[in-house]
Amino acid sequence: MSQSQGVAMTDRSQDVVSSDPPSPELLLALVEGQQRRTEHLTTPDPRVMYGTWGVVWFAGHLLLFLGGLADPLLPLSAALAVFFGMLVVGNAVVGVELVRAFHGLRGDSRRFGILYGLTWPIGMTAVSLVVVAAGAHGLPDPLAGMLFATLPAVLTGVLLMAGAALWDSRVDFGLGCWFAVLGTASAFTSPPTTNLLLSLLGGGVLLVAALVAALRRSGRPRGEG
Amino acid sequence: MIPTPPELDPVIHAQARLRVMATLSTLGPGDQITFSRLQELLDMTPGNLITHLRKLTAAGYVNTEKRGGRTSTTFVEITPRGRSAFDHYLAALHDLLTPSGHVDRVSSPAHDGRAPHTKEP
Repeated sequence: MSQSQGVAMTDRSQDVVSSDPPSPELLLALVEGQQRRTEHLTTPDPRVMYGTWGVVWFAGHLLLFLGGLADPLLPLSAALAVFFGMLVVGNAVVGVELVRAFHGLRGDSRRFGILYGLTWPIGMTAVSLVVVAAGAHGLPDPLAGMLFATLPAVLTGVLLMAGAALWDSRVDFGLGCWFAVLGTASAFTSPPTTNLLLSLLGGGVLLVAALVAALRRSGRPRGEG
Repeated sequence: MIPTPPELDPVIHAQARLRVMATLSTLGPGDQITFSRLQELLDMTPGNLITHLRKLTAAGYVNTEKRGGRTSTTFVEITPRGRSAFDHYLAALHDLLTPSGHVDRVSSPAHDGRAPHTKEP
């Protein structure tokens, strides 16, 4: 807990009764601490959001890579099953985090947050089903596998950039650009190399973003969070 | 109660109400928060929070609205007047930190909460 947060918490709810008036510095620190606390508790935690999808992308695509090798370390079907399971768990974790952040709130911020949050699973499901349909139309498995991996990466980039525009976040815009480039570039490779790239350069970057968010929140008195 | 410097709005110049205003002003324009969630964010007792919300409501800085039937929920929001008064209060605090800047500062915005907040360089 930062010093100013400590001020906010220890002063509790009493009026100013001390004989010494609080200094403007202390009052501003009180305000900043409370504003930071409010922002942290009423917005989705970036450590949870980046961290959850970082783990899903990193571990999920790594498993698909290992299952897609010429001499696979596990059956590809098993890797796919685990990957889908992780996607379900990831959506559940993020859903719980959104409920935690927005409970007890009403208004535009909550509505925009929920609509934006729903855009992700709907968009990802739609893109994945298009690839499944392409497979049903006779698209060869390696091509379907490549699209199944890269289209969600491109969509992730687009959604991150759109969110960055809504909430004025340079970090998310940078991440969005990165995923758009990564998704496009990895489309020029074939599975399982595609999956290895998305694991290390997609999931890995998200895990770094989660780590940076954690460091900013714990270390700096005025982090963006 | 300590005397309030003339530049500082006496309604806001109490640490508990300052924290309430800081919390509500952090939410987006038009956003409302339930009484219990506000209490959680402030770590205040219900009685204390009610007392301070009454004073802020009387000043026109905060609106409270009850919704629902038997298990009604109270929603709280900052008013535009309250947001403006809070901005003025913060500007006055900054002026106190840089004494040369507060010569021209108008008196408490409590009586004129709609005055625009002028940013100091």
